[in-house]
Amino acid sequence: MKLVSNIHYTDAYYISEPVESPVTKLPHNEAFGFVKKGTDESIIISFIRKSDDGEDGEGYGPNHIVRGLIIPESALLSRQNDYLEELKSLKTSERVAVTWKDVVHVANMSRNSSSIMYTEGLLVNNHSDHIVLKDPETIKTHPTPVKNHPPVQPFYYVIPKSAITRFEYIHR
Amino acid sequence: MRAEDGNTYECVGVLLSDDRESLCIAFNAHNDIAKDYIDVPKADILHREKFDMSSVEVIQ
Repeated sequence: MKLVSNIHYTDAYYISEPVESPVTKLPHNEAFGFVKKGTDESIIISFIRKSDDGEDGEGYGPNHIVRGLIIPESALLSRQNDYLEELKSLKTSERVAVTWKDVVHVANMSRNSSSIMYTEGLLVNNHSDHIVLKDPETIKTHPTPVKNHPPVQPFYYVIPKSAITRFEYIHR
Repeated sequence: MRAEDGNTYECVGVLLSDDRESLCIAFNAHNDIAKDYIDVPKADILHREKFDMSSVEVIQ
């Protein structure tokens, strides 16, 4: 069995500069580490792991991550064109609500699932593998406590289509 | 490696620099730019091993 893994994935990101027409592209990210399965179709990759029980003799729990990432399988590069049918044809200049899975950086925490995010904003661009929302308001709904993300509202949010689990237009 | 908390840890990544007193190891890169890395004093390193990329499982 191979002990070390090299994982290639993409991720959502936000833009905090007030540009008029942002040029967007999904990033190609990669990480090295020790991999195990998460509980929600995610992959946990640990960059650093404890190799003994230490001087105090106390080990960590099985879900403890010293430093690493929790990556939804939908964020893998090979999954970029694997998304909801309804995302193939979208109307721009409409307000939308999107639920999506986010990659999480973890340090000294017990955790085994990725974050679930909810974003509302104006759909300004529809690309083959991502959407762009203007004036987005995003909250992390899982795990609790619910939090704004980021704490200061950005100008745009770029979200991979493969990360989206629910999409709807907001009619007010 | 031995850490300040007295515990022993192992880490894996790409060697970014090998100075006289420390190693810099990157774990995570965004568009080929290292985003997440650690500087490890050589005095704290208990074992160091170079791995062959053919032994690494690629997940993408």
